[in-house]
Amino acid sequence: MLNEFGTTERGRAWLRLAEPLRVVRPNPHLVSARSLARSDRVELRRTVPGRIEATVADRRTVEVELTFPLWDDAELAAARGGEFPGLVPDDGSVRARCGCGRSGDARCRHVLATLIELARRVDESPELAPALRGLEVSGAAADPTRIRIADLDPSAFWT
Amino acid sequence: MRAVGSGCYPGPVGIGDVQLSFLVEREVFAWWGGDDPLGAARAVGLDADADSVALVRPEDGVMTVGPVSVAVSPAEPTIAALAAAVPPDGWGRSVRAWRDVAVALDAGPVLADDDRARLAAGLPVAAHAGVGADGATVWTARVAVDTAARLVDAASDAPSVWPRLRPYQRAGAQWLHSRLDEAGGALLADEMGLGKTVQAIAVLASRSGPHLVVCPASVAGTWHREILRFAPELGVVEHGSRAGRPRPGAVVVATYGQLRAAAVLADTSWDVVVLDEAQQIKNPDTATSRRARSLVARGRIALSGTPVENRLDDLWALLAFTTPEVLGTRSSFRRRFAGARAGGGAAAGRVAALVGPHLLRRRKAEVATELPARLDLAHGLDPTDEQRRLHRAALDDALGHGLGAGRDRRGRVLALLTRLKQICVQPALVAETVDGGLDGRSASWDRLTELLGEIVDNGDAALVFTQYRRAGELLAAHLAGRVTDAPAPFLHGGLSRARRERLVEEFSHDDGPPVLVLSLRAAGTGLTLTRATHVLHLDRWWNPAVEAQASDRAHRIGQTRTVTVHTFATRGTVEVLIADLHRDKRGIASAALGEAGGDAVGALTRLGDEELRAVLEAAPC
Repeated sequence: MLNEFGTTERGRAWLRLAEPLRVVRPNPHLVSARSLARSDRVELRRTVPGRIEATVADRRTVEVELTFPLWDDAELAAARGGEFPGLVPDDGSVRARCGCGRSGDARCRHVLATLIELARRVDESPELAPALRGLEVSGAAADPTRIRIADLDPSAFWT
Repeated sequence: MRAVGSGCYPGPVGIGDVQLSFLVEREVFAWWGGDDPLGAARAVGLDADADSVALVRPEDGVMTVGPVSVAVSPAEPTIAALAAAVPPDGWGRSVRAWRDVAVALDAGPVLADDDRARLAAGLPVAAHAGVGADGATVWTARVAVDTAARLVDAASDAPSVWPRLRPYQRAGAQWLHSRLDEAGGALLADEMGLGKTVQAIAVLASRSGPHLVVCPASVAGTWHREILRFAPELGVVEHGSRAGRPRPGAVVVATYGQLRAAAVLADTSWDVVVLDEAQQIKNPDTATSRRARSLVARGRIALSGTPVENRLDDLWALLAFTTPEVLGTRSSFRRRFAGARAGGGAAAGRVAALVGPHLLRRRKAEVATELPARLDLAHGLDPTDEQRRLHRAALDDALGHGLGAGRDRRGRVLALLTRLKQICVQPALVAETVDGGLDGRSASWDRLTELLGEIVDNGDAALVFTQYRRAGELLAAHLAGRVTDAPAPFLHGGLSRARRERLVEEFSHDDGPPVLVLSLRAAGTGLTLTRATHVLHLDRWWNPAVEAQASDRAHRIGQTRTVTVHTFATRGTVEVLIADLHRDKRGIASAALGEAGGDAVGALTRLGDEELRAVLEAAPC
């Protein structure tokens, strides 16, 4: 089957949090998590440094939140110099909460699906990976001619 | 009632503050909101027209798109009226922001860049809320201010082609110009018939040159003529054997075949390179594609009417020419968007967001207010060498023997005219032996095939009319594998009535064949084929009423979309004479034949041999 998530090095690093190489037994949650991501049922609501908020449209819609540590000053300095000190946080440092209530030590399928979707987004936007660890994003040149309707700010509409 | 800061609009459309939006692609203002948009325009002294336009508005904190009742007023009088009047208290911020612009323009139409930026920053979204003709964006406040300023600045230094463009074409040319400055290139993917060529010419005319246009051989002549027509100040040369270094300001027109072969094109440092029908380079591994990507240019424009936005590999190939840094290398692009390649969905939407700034694609439906219900495209073509030779030989042969007199003469003239028309359609029709190949022999045949490819790619359907049974059979088979999977159905008089009805029935289904070839006599007058939005006339009728009747198969009651009618005229041939007659202008045809539009063929038979030759050869090769 086509490997559709973690197709780039950076995306794969995030995918490993959901699918660690050291796991020896098949994880039944992983199959349904992949399926949720594949059918676009994971919506990343916020992707900000140190924090991901998502909703997963499973049998009912649940909210997932991931938090993880930012790079420290020394690491950031190295990152600014182009040396990334480990793009993905250690597995143990990622805290996950899921609205399904079944999350404990073992991650539920919604958390796994969120990690898989995140891997895909990092594939698509490689600059997202260091940004999630706190590296400043250089202001990408916005299109000075057109604004996508989805990007308009409703609160700035009238005034 | 006042709109509140949360962005929620209190109540249905039509109630609330008076608002004013500038519609960039129509170059007009739209008054909306309030109880009476027409009355609001009248209150500042403007005569406006009621209309309905697509605007964005926030609803429950989310942007929505929908038609809104507006009053439309032209830009210049609106600016003048706003400068003179103080809008009543309680009118929306958008009106007052445009008044600020109007006052500044009134003081002096040439505004410094800083002033424009400041005024644009003062416009709320409501002041430029018209949905773009691409259906997905709004033009920025800055573009709205710049466009309005240009409209009141009579002494603008815009190139001479500018006033001859339609408003949406000016917006497109301005967009191209800006993208060349900002990103070095852009892909203009407007639907066929919206005038991509002339938008590109407007950009070329505003820059220093030298420029290179690369296009299929079938449209090289069109480029040449359109440049002479719209921007005569640009010297245009066709790339040929004696081509040396192009001089500054010149436009060199070359075919894709020449691009592959000619080193001088690759060695020149161009100002702007335009690739027309750029889907020709969609296979990135071909020599043409590589050669195009390696051209040295400050600005790169790709023109294509095919829908590329959902085909990732095509998209990559075109943007790798215009703006290579946007999508990166092909392998990394494929890795990044593996999910979108597999199944589309949300990932495809994110690709669209990534490439959106570099791609402008507008459809006729969205520009409909600008366009008539029926659009006539007359494709002028240069004959192939074979056509030139056959046309001359047919004339020499017929006139060398003399055409005789009386009834015999009439018959011989008719036979000559038919032969000449068939040479224009496809030389294979008059060849003694059938040697199989049809490509590259007729300019109009090749162009028609390209056009059908684009039409079908866009998911549209087309009718092709011919008066020659053999031409219809050849074409229907020719399209298989090039445009359609299977041979196109051909509705002609040799079919039983039941069979003809079944073809019409099949074509009328949404998932029916995209192209139907018809002989007009067999198609009759009762047919309604409104699924088609394009009508192509492979050959010409002397009587314009007959052609109009054919076009009406698609363009009739029940048709809700713009119908595009394509005709072809090969230069230096009988087709130019027919086109001249149809336009009913006092050209060569009318002068020679007296009453045009009457019995043209009868008039031709009454001409003497030499007069007849003069008329048939009148258009210069």
